[in-house]
Amino acid sequence: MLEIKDLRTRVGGREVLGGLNLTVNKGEVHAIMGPNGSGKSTLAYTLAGRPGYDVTGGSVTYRGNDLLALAPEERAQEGVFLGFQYPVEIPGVNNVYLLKAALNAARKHRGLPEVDAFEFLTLVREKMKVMQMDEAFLSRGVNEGFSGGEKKRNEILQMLVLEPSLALLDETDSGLDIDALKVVANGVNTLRSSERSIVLVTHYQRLLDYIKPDYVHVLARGRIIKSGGPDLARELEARGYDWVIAEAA
Amino acid sequence: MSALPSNRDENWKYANLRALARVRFDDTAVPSAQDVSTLAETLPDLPQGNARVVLVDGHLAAGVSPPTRGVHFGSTPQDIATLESSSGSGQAADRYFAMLNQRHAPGTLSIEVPSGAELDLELWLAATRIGHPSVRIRLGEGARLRLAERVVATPAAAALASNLHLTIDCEANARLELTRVQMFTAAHQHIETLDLRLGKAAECYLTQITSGGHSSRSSSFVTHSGGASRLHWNVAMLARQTQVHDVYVRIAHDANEAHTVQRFRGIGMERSRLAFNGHMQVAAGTRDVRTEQSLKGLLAGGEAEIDLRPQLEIHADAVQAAHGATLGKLDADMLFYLLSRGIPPAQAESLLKWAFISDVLRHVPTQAVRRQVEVLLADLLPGSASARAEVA
Repeated sequence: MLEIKDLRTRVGGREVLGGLNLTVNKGEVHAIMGPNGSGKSTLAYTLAGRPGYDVTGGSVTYRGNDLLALAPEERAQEGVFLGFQYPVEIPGVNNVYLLKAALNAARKHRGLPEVDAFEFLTLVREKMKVMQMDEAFLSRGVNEGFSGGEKKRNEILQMLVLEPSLALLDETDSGLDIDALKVVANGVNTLRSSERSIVLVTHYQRLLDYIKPDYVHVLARGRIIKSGGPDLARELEARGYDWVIAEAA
Repeated sequence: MSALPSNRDENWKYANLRALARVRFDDTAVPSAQDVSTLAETLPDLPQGNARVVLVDGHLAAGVSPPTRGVHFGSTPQDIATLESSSGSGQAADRYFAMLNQRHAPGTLSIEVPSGAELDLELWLAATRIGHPSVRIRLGEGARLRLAERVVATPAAAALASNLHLTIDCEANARLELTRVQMFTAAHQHIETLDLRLGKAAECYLTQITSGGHSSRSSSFVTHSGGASRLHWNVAMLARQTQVHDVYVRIAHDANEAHTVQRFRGIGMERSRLAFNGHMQVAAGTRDVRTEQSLKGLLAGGEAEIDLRPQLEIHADAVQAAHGATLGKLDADMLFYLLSRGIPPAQAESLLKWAFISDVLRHVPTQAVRRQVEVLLADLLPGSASARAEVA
C-alpha cells in the first residue's frame, strides 16, 4: 500500500524528517509514537501534500505510484485521507456540502457518476449513527463552533463517508474524553478491512487500547528508530522515550 | 447645481470618475416598445401575492407592472431641497447625482404602504441606454414592506448608465426588508444616491449584492431620527477584471437608542478595485446609541485593490461603538483542508469565497429571497452556490 524510503522533509528551512523509512501493507494498522517535535505531524502533512512541507529527498510509493508527484487533491481522490490534529473551522461552508463535494470529487476521479441526494443523505445518516452525531451538525459550518471532541468525530465521519484506502490519523485522540475516545475508535475500527491501511499518529497508549495496531513505531529526530508490536506501546507508556532514543544512539 | 465630484473630494476618492465624466447623462430617451418587450420575456414568474413594478431607464413599463394599490408613477420629480434638510446635506458633491436625477428623471415612482399595511414588492430597474430612475418609498406607522430590487440590462447595449435616486421614509414601528441584487452587464455604469430615514422604533434590514458591470458608485445617507430604531446594513460585492465598485455610507444617529449593524464583504479578483467607506455619526446629546461595523476584504487577484474605511464620528458620551476592518487573502489552512478532501483547487477557492460573503447572505431575513440570491451567485462562484442550494 505505502512504501516510504529515506524521506527527507524541510519545514521553514529546517529538516524535520531526516531519512524516514516505513512500509505499510494492505489491511495493516501502524501506530507512530514519539516525543514532541519528533516529526510525527510532519510525516502526516508530507504524505497529504501540505504546501510548505518540502520534500528534499527520498520517495513515497502509494499503490505502486509516486505519491509525491500528486497534488494534495489528487492524493485525496486516490484514497489518501488525513485526519487533522487541529481541524480548521470554515464558517459559511456547511458540513453536508463539504461531504458531498468531497465524495463526488472522488467518484468523478474513479469514473463514477455523482451520488444522488437521497442516496447521499442515507449514507451520511448511517455514518453519523456510528459516530453518535446529531444530524444538526450537517447544516452547520465545517467545524464551526464545534468542541474539540466534535471536531475529531467530524473528521472520522468524513473518513467513513469517503472510505479511503489509506487513512493518516494525526493525534485523533487528543482532546477526547474517554467516552468520545471510544466512539472515535469505534468509527476507525468500522473502516478496518483487508483492503485498507491506517497510520495512527498518537502520543498515548490509551488509543491503542481501542484500536489494536499491528505495528508500533517510535519516531525521533525525523527517523523511525524502533519498531515492534502492540507491546512496544505499553512499554513506552511505562518507561517513556528516553531509553529508546538512548538505545538508538 | 454643484459640480461633478472629483477624486479630491474625500468621499469620492476611489470612485471611477474618469469613466463617469464620459457619460452623456442628458442623452436620455423613451425606451422603445421592442426593448420593453424583450425585457418582459426575461422576467421570472411573479410569486403569488407579490406585486411588481418595472422601470426602464426610469420610465414606468406599465405593460409589465400590474396596478398595485399605493404604487403609482407620477411626473413630479423628487424635491432635493426637502430631502437634504431631512437627511442632512453632506458635502455638495455628494448630492450631485441626485440633482442630476432630479433634472432628468422622467418621473418618480411612489410606493406608499399605509399604516399597519403589508406589501411584498419586486422592483425591477432595467437599463437599455441612459436612465435616471427615481423612486420614493414611504412606510406609514407599523407598515411592513418586503422589497426585492433587481437590476437588469440589455446585454448588447454599448453605452449603459443608470443614475438611481432612491428615497425611503419609515415612520414609527415600520419595518422594511430591502434586498438589492445588482448584477450588472459588462458596459453598465451605475450611480445611485439613497436617502433613508428611520422613525421611532422603525427597523430596516438592507442586504445588497453587487457584481459585474464597468463601475458603480453608491452614496447612501441614513438618519436614525426617531429613537430606538434598528438598521442592519449588509453589503457583499464581487469585482473582477477592471471593474470598480465604490460605496459611501453615512449613517447619522440623531436619536437615543438607535442601533446599527453594518457588514461589508468585498472580493476583489484580477485587477478590480473595491472601496467601502462607512461613516458612522453619533450626534451630541444622544444616549445609548449602539453601532457595530465589520468591514472585510478578500484579495483574490494579484493586482486587485480594496480600500476599507471604517469611520466613527462620535459627539456623545454614552455610546457603544465597535468597528473592525480586515483585508487579506484566502486562508491557506482552509484551502489545504478542502484540497485534502479531494476538492479541486478552483472549486475550493470558490467555496472559500462563498464562505466569505455568506456572512452577508445569512442575514437576508426572508429565506426565499436568500435562496434566490444564492442561485444568482452560482454563476459568479461556480461549484459553490448551486451545489450548496441543492443539498441545503
